[in-house]
Amino acid sequence: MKKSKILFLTIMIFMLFCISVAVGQDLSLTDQVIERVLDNGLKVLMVKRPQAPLIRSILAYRVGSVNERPGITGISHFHEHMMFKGTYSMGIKPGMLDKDLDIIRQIDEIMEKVVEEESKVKGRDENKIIEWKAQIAELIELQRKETIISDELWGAYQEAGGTGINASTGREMTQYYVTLPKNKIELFLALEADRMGNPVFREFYSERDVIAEERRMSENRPGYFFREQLNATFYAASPYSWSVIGWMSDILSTTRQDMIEFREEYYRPDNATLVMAGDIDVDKVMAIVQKYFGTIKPEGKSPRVRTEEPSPEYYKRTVGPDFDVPYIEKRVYGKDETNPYVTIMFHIPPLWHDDLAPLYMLGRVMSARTGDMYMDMVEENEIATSVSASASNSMYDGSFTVRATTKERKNIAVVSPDSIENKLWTYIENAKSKHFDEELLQRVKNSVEASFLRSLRGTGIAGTLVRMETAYKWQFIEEQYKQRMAVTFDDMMRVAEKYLTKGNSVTGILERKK
Amino acid sequence: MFKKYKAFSLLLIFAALLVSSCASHLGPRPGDFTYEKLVFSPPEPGEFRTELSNGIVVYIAEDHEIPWFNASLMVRTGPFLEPEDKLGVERMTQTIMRSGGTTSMTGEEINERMDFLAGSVSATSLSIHMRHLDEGLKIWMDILNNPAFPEDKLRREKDSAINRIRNRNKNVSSVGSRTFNELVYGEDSPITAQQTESMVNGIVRDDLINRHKKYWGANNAILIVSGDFNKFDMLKKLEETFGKWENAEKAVPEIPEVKQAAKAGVYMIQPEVIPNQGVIRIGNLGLMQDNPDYPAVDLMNYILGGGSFSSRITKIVRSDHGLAYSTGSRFSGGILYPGTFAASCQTKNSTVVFASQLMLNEIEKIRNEPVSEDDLKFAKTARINSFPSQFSSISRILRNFANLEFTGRPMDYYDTYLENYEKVTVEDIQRIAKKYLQPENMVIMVSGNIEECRAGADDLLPNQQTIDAMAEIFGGRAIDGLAKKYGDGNVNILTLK
Repeated sequence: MKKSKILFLTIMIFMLFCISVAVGQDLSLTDQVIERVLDNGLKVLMVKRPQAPLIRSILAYRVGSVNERPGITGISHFHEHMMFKGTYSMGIKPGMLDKDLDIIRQIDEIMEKVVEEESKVKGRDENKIIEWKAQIAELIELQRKETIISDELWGAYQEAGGTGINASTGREMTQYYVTLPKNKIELFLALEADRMGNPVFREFYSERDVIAEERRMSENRPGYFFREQLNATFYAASPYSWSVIGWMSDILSTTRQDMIEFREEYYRPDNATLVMAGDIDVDKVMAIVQKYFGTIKPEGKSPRVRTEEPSPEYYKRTVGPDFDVPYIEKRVYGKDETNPYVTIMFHIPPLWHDDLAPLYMLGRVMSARTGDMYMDMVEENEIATSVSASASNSMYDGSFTVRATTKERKNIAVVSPDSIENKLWTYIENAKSKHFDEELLQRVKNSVEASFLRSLRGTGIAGTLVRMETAYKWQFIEEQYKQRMAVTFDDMMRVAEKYLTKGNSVTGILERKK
Repeated sequence: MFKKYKAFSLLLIFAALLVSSCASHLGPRPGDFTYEKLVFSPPEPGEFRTELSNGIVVYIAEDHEIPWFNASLMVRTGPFLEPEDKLGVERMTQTIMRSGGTTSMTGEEINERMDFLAGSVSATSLSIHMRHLDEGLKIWMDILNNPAFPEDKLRREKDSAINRIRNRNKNVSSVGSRTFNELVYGEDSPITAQQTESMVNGIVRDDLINRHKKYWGANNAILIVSGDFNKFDMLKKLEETFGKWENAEKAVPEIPEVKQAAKAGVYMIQPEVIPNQGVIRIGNLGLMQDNPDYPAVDLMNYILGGGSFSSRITKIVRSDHGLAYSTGSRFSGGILYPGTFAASCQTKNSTVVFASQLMLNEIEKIRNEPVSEDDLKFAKTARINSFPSQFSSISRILRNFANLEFTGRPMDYYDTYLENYEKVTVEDIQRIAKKYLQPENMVIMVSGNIEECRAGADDLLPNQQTIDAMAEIFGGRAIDGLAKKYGDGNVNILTLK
């Protein structure tokens, strides 16, 4: 802390800004990524981007809402919040650790009584609950006054000049990130290794309320509950069925003990990827990585979720190859005070499957603003304000989603949901039977090429790498790009025929609430 | 369920054992590290600035990371340059310049061509692979010089403008921020004026044509260009295109006089869709960014509510009491007119009053008690150490400098930045807190379920002690106490427009 102050006294004297250093004209991703793996399984990916004296760092864990189960939904996101609450050395006043842990133990004991009482179906003693909660509030007050330093890790990054400090949780990945001046990289590595190995979940119950408020914010966006139910209807077998934030009832009944069990399974070096992009000296940085992360040596392995969503292929494989796949069509109707839409979702395989590239390209071609569906529904007939078709790129079975937002005049839809749905089906059927315009496919391929190129730019590459490495492997970024560029019309017709069927679909219709 | 709790107590013992075994070897502290010296000084605007023969200002730099070209155009057409009975006409002009195509290419033809070239173009930007640069530039110049403004695109833009107007009273947070601004600047101020359906209906094609003629020209714009090119060659290319762009009428926006409109007090408004949280905004009129007090104001606000988790409001409202996911304060430095100070929070109905009281308590505290040397040092260090990140990419460097020139701020802004932050003292913080946080102007605005938010905290919430303490200071658990302390005693219920 003291050092950082002195540094900048010399700022005005020198100019150390390389404006035109080229990373290299060879735009292969493989050549740019430096990969190292520690003995404990931690994978480290580095990319040199020396344009500014900064390093974008991300530590990502292969854990998210897919690793939850009914009853503790939302816990991976809740855990992400708790990772900011300190360790045995952070977030705690000097010499107060024992007292702090003792208070935490007392809170847990009382909370156990509260949970037991609250879980009674009938005859809860509300007065007792209030009394216990008051006791907890007192203990928390004591902790706040005497033992803890709240949000110390966040503050340490801020003081070091960190920007873009945050963390996020998704269905498959939880990541912690910050951009620091390059000379502060040790701070990041030391603090992240510390909280990987030694977190202490302080201020648990007030944070639980924060998360409830976070969920309420989403609930206040029109159409939220409908989207949540549509998603829950679409996924029957998969943990994608619940949203990352979790059901409110689960959030409010999660305990600290649930979280301790959860973290021990997933917060481990062999389940993590460390990515750094910026002005990096690889050998120096690796020595620091080894120093702090090398000592974490957990036993066993992180559990893996295995899940598959029922689809025509699933029935053929699990029941028998000659089995007549049952016709099951699910529909969800809703009303809310927002723009009405129709969405049709189909089950498709995970991102590593060979059918994914044709499905991705099919989505791009179907939804192109120069394609038939857009030109008809948005431009010529003006029955929709937007149309889309897209394939998910997920670790487990995902969705191909076709959707149109109905055009309204003075908040009255210009056509019925039925006619929107029929139109969408016209274009879904067209995808199976007819070749699109050859030039349209070329346009989409040009755009795929451009997006790939642009994804390699700057320190944003760190995010691209971490997403694919967590879902599958980082090398697949380039492989997937090549697969997409090789897709033909026949490939797209084949996958349309295979996946875009009524029996493999869930339809959501949202109308405006008057 | 039962099993889960059985296991619970066993694991608790296990956890306690784990805790005591680890507690002996402690981990790192932020003060443990010594860092290598980092030398950084901001780039100079002069290195990037040039003018073409017609006088258009260009900020340009080579960027060889990928074979790509990026350009954007800042045009002085926006605020306070629209007729007051035709608000929103500028947005339509810009959108339709692109979507409506030109006299030689329809909007759809531009879509097709740009998609084929895998680039994107709008009235104010071009992003394209270097190998297609010439064609991209040609299309962009065509859009700037010869927009067609077809009637059907205008009708469609009018439809969607009306859709936005019809739906703007539904969302709790957008109703909240709009209402707060109307209270501070006044409902009749051009700053807060809202588009109405009759304004939209009154816009005709000639309005767009006239605006384009009047404002879209070289002398009203700054061009920003970066990419995988040789600067010398690129300037020749720009000379052939933007260098031939004609001048327009020099735009002189009429900047309104600003003084705070609403009196201090409590104001409530209920959105059309009744939410399960209230949005709180507490504040008053602020200052200009070029005010010499601004660095001190920024640091004061960092300590109060701007420094995310290291700020007082976030710590107390979020970390301590778990009342909100989103809370903090903002002191926006105005560019054309003074900005606002606003402490804000979004919390469930039953804690709206409590959260407001906690925020007001922090506002009072920073006015009445000097901040500690440590607090100030922390805020300064954070701002100073994060200075290089304001120049994290070439496009960001160009944007920063172009912005300074466009808004008429001193071009040495970044050269004096660190010095201006370094020299702020604890006394300065105290002085400016008293000057810019003004109880006599403090507007307390709540957007939400009026009845439930107004009632205040119930007995079922945790932290009854703190709730009682705050109630003591601020005249009770209901919002009416705040109305007495800060206003004339009335809770002003506003109606949606």
